[in-house]
Amino acid sequence: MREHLSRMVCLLTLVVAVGLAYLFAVRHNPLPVAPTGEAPPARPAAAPTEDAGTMISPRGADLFAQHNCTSCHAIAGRGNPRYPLDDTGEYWTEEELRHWVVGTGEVTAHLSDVVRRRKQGYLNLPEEDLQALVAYLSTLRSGGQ
Amino acid sequence: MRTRFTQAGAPAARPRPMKAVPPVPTPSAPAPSRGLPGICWVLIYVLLVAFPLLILLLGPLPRGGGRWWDFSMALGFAGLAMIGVQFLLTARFQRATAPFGMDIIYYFHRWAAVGGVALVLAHYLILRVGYGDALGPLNPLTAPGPLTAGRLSLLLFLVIIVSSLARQALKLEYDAWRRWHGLLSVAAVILAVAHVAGVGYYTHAPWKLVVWTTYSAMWLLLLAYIRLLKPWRLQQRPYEVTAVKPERGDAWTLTLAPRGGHAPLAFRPGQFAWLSLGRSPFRAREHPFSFSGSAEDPRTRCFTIKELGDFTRTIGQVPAGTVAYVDGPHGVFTPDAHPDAAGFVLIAGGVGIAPMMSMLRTLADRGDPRPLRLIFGNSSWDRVLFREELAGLPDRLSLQVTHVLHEPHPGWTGATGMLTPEVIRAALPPPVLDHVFFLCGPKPMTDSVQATLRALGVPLSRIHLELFDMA
Repeated sequence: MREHLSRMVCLLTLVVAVGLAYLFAVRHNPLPVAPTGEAPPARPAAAPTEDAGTMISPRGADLFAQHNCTSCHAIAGRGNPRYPLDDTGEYWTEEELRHWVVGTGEVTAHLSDVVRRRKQGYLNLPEEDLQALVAYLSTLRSGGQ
Repeated sequence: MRTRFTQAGAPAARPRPMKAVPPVPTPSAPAPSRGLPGICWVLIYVLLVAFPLLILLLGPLPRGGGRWWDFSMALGFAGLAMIGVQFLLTARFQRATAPFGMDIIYYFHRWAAVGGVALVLAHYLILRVGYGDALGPLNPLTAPGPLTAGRLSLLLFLVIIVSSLARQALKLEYDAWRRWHGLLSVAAVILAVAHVAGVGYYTHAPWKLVVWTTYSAMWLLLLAYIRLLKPWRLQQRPYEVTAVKPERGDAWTLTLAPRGGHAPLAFRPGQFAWLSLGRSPFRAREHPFSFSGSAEDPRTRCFTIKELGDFTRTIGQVPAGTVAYVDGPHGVFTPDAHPDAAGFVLIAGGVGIAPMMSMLRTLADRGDPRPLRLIFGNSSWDRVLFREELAGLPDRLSLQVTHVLHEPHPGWTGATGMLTPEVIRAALPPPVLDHVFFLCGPKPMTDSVQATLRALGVPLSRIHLELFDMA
């Protein structure tokens, strides 16, 4: 009898926990966004206005994957959905994008210290890698999503 | 003492279950505090687990990451909260555990562990299935530190669950298991907190950081209380072994007296304590045993212990003068919780007689006039623990003893077999069904006897038993 009651209390706690978790998810995401983990990163539909972006994009995309950028960012639904980068080429110039990558400059002033420190680690990247990455990011425009 | 040890050697006995103890004025024991009723503690528990989620729910968030993503994060927090509260459950806070009995708290602890780890596992699986890229590589050398910490934490939790639920099947020795259980769970929680802090999405806001730091600090303080303050307090009130007496049925009665000037701790008949023998209380090598002596004894405390496992097989060799520490009393399996009972029926199997002896000896010392009945099941007559003393007790108490043997000697005229429904019915005349029942023995026995009593019309509120085999 007591064992039964104690299992019920455990179940009640789980129900409360899962319920609150669900409410949290719904409250902060008024429109459902489903994960699309299986699609490969989409090629941006709009061609970049800058230089040979399409030529160095594949390398940039490789670097993006290689440095685990997906642990914080998502592109075309792949990666951490909290900070999607799908329109990033539209909103930011290449110079600003570089600041975003390495956590410097005014555009990143509002970031938390933890995040900045993490990004500033990328200052150690070889220069051509950084450029490739930035060029790749600048090709991301909202033609895809 | 009534303990049921497994082959791997674990003190399985825990004190019997109970309701809240009302104040009973006796000269020896202090009046028990009027704690909160059980339902309040249940609500406090649920609130403690829900608290971080409420903080999350009510706080601001930069933007959502998608419903499944945020659901997964919230599940992770809920799991960690549930796991953190586990430490509170096993801290043996008497006021909180008194309404339920220590045994059911441990039972709940096991279920809550499975529940909490299930939440954490769900957190991980949602990410693994839906957001595999965000998790990145598994290799600890290339993966971000906080993610490795999270994975390791989850792995440790799974190890803890398996090693605990299957401890006997895996033949893990109790003391070693217990030590590892403590170490691994602390390590796993520290890794989980490192994971949360490192991932950092929800700790950006300063006030949230304060909340999480406070929660973690409280948890550390709790650990310090359990591992440092409590043992230190026990160390201030040592006991020593004054006698080790062999008993029937491979049992020993250990008698302790206070060393130094302090008075022995007060207890109610039927309660139990955690005993450390010959070791510092900081080593966390204590085992629970029921008091078997009279609660009215002003000087000594006795425990009757059956040789059933690695630890208990050494009891017979403990030299007089060995230091001992007693953490107690715990449990609410006591007639003192029922001052208005018309009488008591004690049903014991094997070493389950030990707490009953405490009850009988205490009631005899107090001259309690109420009718008492003992139904005592054993294998054979020469293994009946306290046989001679039980024969003498009816001189001092209105007590009727019914012995039941399942390997009787020739010429035995008493009841035979196990404590089956027929045997129980035969031993209980109808007037006795109004009394309060205490059951103590192996689980199949107590389950069966409880079912028989229910069939006889005894309400559950008057049947008290305790769970064995907690670990």
